[in-house]
Amino acid sequence: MKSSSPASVPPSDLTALISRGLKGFKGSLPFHQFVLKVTSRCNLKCDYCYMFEMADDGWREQPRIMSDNTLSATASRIADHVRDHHLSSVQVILHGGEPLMAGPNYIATAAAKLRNAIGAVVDLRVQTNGTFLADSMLEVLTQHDVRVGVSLDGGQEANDAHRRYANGKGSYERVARSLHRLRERAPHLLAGILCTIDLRNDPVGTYTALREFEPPLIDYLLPHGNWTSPPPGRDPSAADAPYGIWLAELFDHWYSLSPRGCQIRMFGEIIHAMLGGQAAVETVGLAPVSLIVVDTDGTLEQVDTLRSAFAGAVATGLSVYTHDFDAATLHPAIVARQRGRDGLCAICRNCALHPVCGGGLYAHRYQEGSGFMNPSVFCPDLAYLIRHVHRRVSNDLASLNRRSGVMS
Amino acid sequence: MDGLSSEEPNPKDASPLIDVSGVSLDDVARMDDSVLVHSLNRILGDAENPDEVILASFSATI
Repeated sequence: MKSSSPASVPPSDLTALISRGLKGFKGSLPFHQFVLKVTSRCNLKCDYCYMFEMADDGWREQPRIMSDNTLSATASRIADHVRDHHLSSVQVILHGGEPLMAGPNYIATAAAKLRNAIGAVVDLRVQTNGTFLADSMLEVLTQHDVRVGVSLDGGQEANDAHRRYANGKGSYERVARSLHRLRERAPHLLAGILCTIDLRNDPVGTYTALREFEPPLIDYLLPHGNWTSPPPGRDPSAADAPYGIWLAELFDHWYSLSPRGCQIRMFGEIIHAMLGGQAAVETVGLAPVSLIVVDTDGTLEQVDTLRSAFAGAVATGLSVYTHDFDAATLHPAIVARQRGRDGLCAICRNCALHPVCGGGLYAHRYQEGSGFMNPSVFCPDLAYLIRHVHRRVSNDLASLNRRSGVMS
Repeated sequence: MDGLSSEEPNPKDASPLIDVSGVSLDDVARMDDSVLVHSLNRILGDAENPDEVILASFSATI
């Protein structure tokens, strides 16, 4: 096991949080989502990967696969957490690296162990690059009711620009075959497709290519980056909004489809937050985050995407071997992401859009020297998109009102 | 960052950016299926379970 320092939150963040009452904060939530990094290696070498290609190379110190002992200790800790907090259900996501590299027997054993140990409904999922979904794996996933999220960035050209094997060969053909097989054999297991945005790709073309696989949901992700290491095409000092424009074009297409197309999570959550609801995704809105990551050696980590910020950003100094999950609920950075508006910087707190954008993804707020108490590096893009969505939805509601006489 | 317009709500005001308080589920049931109708059904459905704690879910690609 590696020993890691808990000092993963910049001092400026802690000072700001404490000044707004962290000391007296007793409202930390139990965890409902457990991300288990059952493997620490991947067979792809995607150029934007926060795990292997960014600031944190801690994966090198990890065992290649989560041992049976670590898996048992994790299952036992989750069971304790469920019992202590009277949770009726939890979600467990097998993640990596590429989790299906562990093989069907390992996945079957892990699924059975987790379901047997945890005394609650377990929504068991795997997030995969889609290159290991052979028949034998599909049988195991079906048998243990493990829902599947597949990462794919659009059609062949779009996907293979980034999602390649180490030898440079693109992964699209194999993943497309996997998705067709999944659709034929066990369509109910496909939870959705995760697509990382590349501004060079046509937004509508990307959506059309992904719809071919009939996912119930597509989750578009902004590429990782922050104020210190900006994402591609995003000049932090500029007020333009290349990602906002890209997403607005996609929104217009999606919003106008009849019959309605598959869900795009970011858009659905933005509209929901705009109408007064609580967005249920960490990329937008102010809903508290209640997830914890268990690394391959059993160490507990904050949300994995923080690896894109700086080396050690995810560390909590805790492990399933020595600590229960309650210890992690008190970690300042986890508490910070459960505090809604109070966890945001002053600029965001004073902006009318913050109930919708929620300050953006926590990892995107990082700046060397000032930590995470900043707006997202995508702030102009999020603002552009939210204003665009606001106009469309407001106009449509007004039009419905005129046509049907509702909302009078 | 500026807000939506000069007439936008105060950021400390908890009211939603778009007010749908005049819409009912019965109204929505008479409309053709669309993203907007789906969204209205969801928000009005949620309003019937005001105590439910909504948590933010995780998305990270592999």
